[in-house]
Amino acid sequence: MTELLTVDDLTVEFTRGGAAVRPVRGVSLTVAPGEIVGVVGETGCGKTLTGLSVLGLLPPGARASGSVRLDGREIIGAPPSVLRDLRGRQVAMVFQNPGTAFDPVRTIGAQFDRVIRAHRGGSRGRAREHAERLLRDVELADTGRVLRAYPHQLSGGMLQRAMIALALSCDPRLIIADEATSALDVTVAQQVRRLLLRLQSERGFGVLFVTHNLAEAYDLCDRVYVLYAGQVAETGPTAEVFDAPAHPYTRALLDALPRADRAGTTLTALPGTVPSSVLAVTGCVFANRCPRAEETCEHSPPPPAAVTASRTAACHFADTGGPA
Amino acid sequence: MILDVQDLLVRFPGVTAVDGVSLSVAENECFALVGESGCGKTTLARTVLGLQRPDGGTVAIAGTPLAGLRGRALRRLRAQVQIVFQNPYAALNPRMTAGRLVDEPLRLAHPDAGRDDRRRRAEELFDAVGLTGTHRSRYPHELSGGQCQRVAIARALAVGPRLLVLDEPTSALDVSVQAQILNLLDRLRRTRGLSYLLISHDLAVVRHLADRVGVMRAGRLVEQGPSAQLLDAPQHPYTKALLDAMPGRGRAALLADTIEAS
Ligand SMILES: Nc1ncnc2c1ncn2[C@@H]1O[C@H](COP(=O)(O)OP(=O)(O)OP(=O)(O)O)[C@@H](O)[C@H]1O
Ligand SMILES: Nc1ncnc2c1ncn2[C@@H]1O[C@H](COP(=O)(O)OP(=O)(O)OP(=O)(O)O)[C@@H](O)[C@H]1O
Ligand code: SF4
Ligand SMILES: [Mg+2]
Ligand SMILES: [Mg+2]
Repeated sequence: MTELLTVDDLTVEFTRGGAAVRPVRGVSLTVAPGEIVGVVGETGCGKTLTGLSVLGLLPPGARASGSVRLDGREIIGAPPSVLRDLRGRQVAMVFQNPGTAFDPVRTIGAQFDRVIRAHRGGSRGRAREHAERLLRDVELADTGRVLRAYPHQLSGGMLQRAMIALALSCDPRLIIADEATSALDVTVAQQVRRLLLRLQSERGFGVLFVTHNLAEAYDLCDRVYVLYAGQVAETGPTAEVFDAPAHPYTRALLDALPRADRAGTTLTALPGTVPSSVLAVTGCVFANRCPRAEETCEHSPPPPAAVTASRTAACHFADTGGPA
Repeated sequence: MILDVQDLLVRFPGVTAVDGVSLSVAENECFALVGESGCGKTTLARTVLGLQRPDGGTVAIAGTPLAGLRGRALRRLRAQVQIVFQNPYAALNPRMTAGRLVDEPLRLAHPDAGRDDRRRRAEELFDAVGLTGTHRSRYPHELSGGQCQRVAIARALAVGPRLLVLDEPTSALDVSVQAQILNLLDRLRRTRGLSYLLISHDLAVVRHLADRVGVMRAGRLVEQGPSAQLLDAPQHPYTKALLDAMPGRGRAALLADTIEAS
């Protein structure tokens, strides 16, 4: 299969207080054309930095190593002009807070005009027609009002739709969505998920879908990567990973969720926290919280190993579905 | 009834935030309010806490109406109801250690208690919310989100309330931490006989903790009932819409809804 996106052994490093911190440590992932791929995990596990690496938009001071290839072109170390070109034509982003993606002092219409004409050229009139088509595509029927409006005059849900429309304006092959529904009301979030699924199936772009919400990843993603402390704990087809997690961390996350059949019971809570200095950990980074940890876990870090043909887990004692 | 709200009305310029709501919370019961942003949940909670004056209707705590009370009597009644907010960092003074943060309400609640007495009470509270002695000297930024929320809960408990208002108590927390806080709230209710007014948009959390649920929309309570019954067999179309919007039913359900919607 020719991948649209191939991230290989990505590491992101900062220097904080004279010491190195490495929030992303050897992440590898792929997105095929037309695939929706989830990146899930708890706060600080490196989801956003991974997404930003693909866009070549890491914060100042960040050093990325490894390889990020979009349609075969290397992003790490690429000159700014190449990155701008990629962002215009190949990859677009949808963030959590649509309010900050738009310039507050310019109308939505002016911002569409600028982006569309920068990418496709053409007249103002043509750009406007294109913008209207895009807005109808994201189910914002009253296109005139939306284009005339300033960002603060639209609801959060309308703004998020507008941002998706803006992302689509360059006909990207890959969309990076980072907590795209997290700031929205439940019913609006569901509409945005549906919209993304519909657009994706119509247009066939790939999606790297970053979320802390396991339930929405379950609904939306073909495959999922579960991150813990900057590393991929487990990956595989979403339904398989969620129905039969192979990594103790994935299992712990799912066990912690309140569910109808757990009402009134004590939830299985994961004790402890991520080690404050993961670089000081010599063995498995999950060992201090893992209910299955054994002696070996303290000393040797588990490499990602195949669980089935399509699944891997980084655990010495990954659950392979066989008899325990 | 620990809380009894009748025909409550709260207006702001241009919006009726709470529009004729009646509900009650029994001793040791957890009642959840659900509904979308802006439907009036927090305004209702603030009115119950006596922080917002109603434009109509009544709020009674343990049988005593809030309206008309002044001075000491009002303070005593208000101490019966405490609130825990969504964002524990924002709710805690960043310049106070966890120990002082818990001591502060203890001083207010027990002005005559000596230092040793307060110390003992603080220890008991720290213990109850699952924090240890080492946490007492830490500032909020030195604590995790879940630990901060435990401090906030300890503070709320310090004045000896009978009703806790929990306004999105876990929505800023990770799943694994949320489970710890839900377990804690569950345990505190059982061991201390507390009642809860829980505000949440997460129906799974509501299902887990609440005995009864009220669904709010645009200031009104459109449906209320026992949580299992209401969430399994919703009657009001809006409750159904809320349930349909909960993720986690798989792509087929999402697609089915797409077809239905178009
Ligand atoms: N500019 C920066 N300088 C130093 N450290 C950073 C910087 N940006 C992020 N980090 C650290 O990198 C880690 C991973 O951050 P990231 O934003 O990728 O997490 P995340 O998984 O997206 O979390 P969340 O769910 O909270 O959005 C965090 O611990 C964060 O503190
Ligand atoms: N102090 C205030 N002045 C004016 N309007 C207010 C005030 N407080 C709340 N409102 C309005 O009252 C309505 C109800 O707000 P409230 O904060 O109670 O909603 P909520 O259900 O808690 O929403 P959320 O889920 O977003 O917290 C909203 O329209 C809000 O804009
Ligand atoms: S390697 Fe050991 S500590 Fe790490 S997840 Fe597996 S069992 Fe747990
Ligand atoms: Mg993030
Ligand atoms: Mg509120």
